[in-house]
Amino acid sequence: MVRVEDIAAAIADAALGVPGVAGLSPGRGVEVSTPYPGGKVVGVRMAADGVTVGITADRVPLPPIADQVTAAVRRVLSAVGDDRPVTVVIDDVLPEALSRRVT
Amino acid sequence: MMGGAGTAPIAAETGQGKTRIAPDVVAKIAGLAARDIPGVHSMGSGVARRIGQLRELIPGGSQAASQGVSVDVGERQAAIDLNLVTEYGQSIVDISDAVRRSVAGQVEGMTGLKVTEVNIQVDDIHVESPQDSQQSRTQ
Repeated sequence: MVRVEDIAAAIADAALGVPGVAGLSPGRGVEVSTPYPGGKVVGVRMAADGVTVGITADRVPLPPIADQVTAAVRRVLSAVGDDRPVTVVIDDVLPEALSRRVT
Repeated sequence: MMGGAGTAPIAAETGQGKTRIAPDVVAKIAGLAARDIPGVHSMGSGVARRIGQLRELIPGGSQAASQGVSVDVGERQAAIDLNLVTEYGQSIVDISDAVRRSVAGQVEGMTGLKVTEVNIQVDDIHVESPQDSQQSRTQ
């Protein structure tokens, strides 16, 4: 059986691997995280009704980044036979992003 | 609901002999497994937490691992009730999911008992504030 925290960590790695993702973000409200014995994966919430990933972007435009993160997370989930919906939340954009417009 | 007291040790295995595991053991494992989850601030209902704080004041004393845990054990099954205090700002749903997984996994792994249910009651929310340390200084 695959442990939830392992899936969450794999999702975090996949999201961080997407160009344009500067980091994962716990959000501003209720912390987006997956607690497990001894620690937590911040920026990934594995809820029964869906997976939420919070990211900080380091470039604009944002929609392609969100799309790529969704696709990357989907790949991880489908590898373990999970078809929960994926929500990507762009929590923050680094200030230098505006001067680094990549199309 | 038994208060985790070692009233009736239970048979976990048969064959060439019996292994009995006291409910206290199950309660202790469950307590430690729940405390492992970040976001769990402390355990026990209001009165139990206060008694636990008093015990901590005694040199060499510490809070019982099974504080906030009550277990109901059968021949091969255990039902576990937990009283938690969670940290403010954390999702209670996420924490309880993680606690449930951790407790069921650890108890089943260590005792061989099947955990039928882990019921969680969140009794309080702990708010971290700078006044906490000030209050303890003036009191």
